[in-house]
Amino acid sequence: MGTELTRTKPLLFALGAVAVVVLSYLALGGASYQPAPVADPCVGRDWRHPDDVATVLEQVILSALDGAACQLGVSREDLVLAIRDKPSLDTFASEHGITRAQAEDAVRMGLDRAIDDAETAGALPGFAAALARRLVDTLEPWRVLETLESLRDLLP
Amino acid sequence: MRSQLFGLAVALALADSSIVTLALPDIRTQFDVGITTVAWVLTSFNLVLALVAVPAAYTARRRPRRAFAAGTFVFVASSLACGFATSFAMLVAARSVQAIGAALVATAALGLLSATSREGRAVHIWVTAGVIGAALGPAVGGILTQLVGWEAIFFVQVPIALLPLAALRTAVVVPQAHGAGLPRITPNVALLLLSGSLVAALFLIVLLLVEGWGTPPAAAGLVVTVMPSAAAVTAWRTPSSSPIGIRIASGAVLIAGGLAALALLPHAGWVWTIPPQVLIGVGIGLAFAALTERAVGGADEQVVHGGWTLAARHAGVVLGLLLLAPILATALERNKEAAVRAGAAEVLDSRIPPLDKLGLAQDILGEIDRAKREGTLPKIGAAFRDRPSTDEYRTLRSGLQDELDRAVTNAFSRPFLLATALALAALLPLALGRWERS
Repeated sequence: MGTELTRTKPLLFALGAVAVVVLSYLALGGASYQPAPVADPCVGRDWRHPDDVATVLEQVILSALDGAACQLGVSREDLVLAIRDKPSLDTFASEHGITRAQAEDAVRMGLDRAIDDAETAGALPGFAAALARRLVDTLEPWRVLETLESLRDLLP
Repeated sequence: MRSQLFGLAVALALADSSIVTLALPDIRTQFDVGITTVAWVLTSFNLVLALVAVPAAYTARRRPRRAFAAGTFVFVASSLACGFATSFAMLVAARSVQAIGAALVATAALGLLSATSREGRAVHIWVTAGVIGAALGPAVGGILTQLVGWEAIFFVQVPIALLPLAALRTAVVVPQAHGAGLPRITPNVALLLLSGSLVAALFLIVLLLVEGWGTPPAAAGLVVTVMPSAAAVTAWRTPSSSPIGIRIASGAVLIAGGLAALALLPHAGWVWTIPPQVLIGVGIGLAFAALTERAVGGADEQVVHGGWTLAARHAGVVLGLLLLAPILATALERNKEAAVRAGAAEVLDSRIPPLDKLGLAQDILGEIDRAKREGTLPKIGAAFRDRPSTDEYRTLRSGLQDELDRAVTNAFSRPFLLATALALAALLPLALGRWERS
């Protein structure tokens, strides 16, 4: 019995050393990788510094992206990555089975959402919000898409 | 001194099985070949070595001195051809010839060591030198590529390969010409599986440090010396009288445990690789020497049986390369998508000037595309190079780097887990062999 224990001592040491290292790594979160979560685009976000013009403009764009992404059932980040260039946009549209009509609807929904959010945050006066909503309703959707496409061309 | 020189020859010959790991991106750029194609610089050497190890051993058993000299000549000439290669096909062809030289040198060196050291010691030196050479290969190759260029890897080997010839003149040899008999299946299969698992330890740790976490090759080279150092100390300190089965089982458990710990790294950073490297190094020192002793020791034809162990080890390396590389590539691609989405969220939600957000996002995506084209991992810092170093940019950069580090570290965990399974599988033939004997 004693001899057998002496013989197997190196194996017991090996098992012990492995257990110490592996369990320590597990305890320190070794098996818990999760990419940083992306927010649900259908849930409203808080606006910050609504008095700053550049930030207001940014928030309007982000709210519009949220609204469009919510309508399409994707994340805001996926939408931003899709509009980086024409091939990415085509791949995105075919992967999600999105038609041009659906894209136009999504853009309109996004703009409506941006106007609502801006008005709620006090960044857009009531009369301006009403005017903007009317503009979005009457504007031909394809013209909105064309404008967005030409804006994309202006990116660095 | 003669033993050390023959050990040096074995270490150098077998270092070539891994030495070009960090030179692959440069070789790929120079010859304009694809990612899967460039891997043949590595695979061809190991494949040819696995195929010719036994024929080389049969050649070396009668005239080890002549085989050693011929092997050295072939190795030196083909190393020069590798360094001067003007096409990718020429490089792969030269690497294949280099493997023939390495097989002759390594098997003949066992015959020469057997004549100059006592039996158990010769096998010990032979296997330890080979494993240390293979373990140091990626780091040495990375440093040379960074400091001089990938061609330097092959030119530096020429004078070192010629050095052991000095020991050849005075070496006394006892030619072996008895019937070699069949190879010992159990230890050779275990060697094959353990070598397959060690591909993760030898290649992936260096790739993770340098390509994944951006550690400079010279620093990474220093970090990965822990494993061969632990292997050498263990092989040197372990008494050959200790039970061989226990040494093999303990070694396999330690290698598997070290690889499992690498699959569970809690954070990015070289310091986290040290404890697993110690486990793997000690495991190598215990298992490889003991398995090779079991496969070779006491046999009439040590050189031929040594050739079989060499064939098994390098067949294992080829198996590991074929299994682990696609798993890593798939895991990296999958994690990249999640990391890019998370990175986009970080950029959009950051406090940097609003008008720069889309510009920065485009630059980061451009860097990701460049990295994909060149078969490397993206360097976040490149997108921030021409931007102000305000707190907002520093915070965003650190957040993005953390996201990338976590994604890359996690992607490497899959091949490390598979390697763990291979190391544990090495215990099966040993258990079967024990059961057959009892």
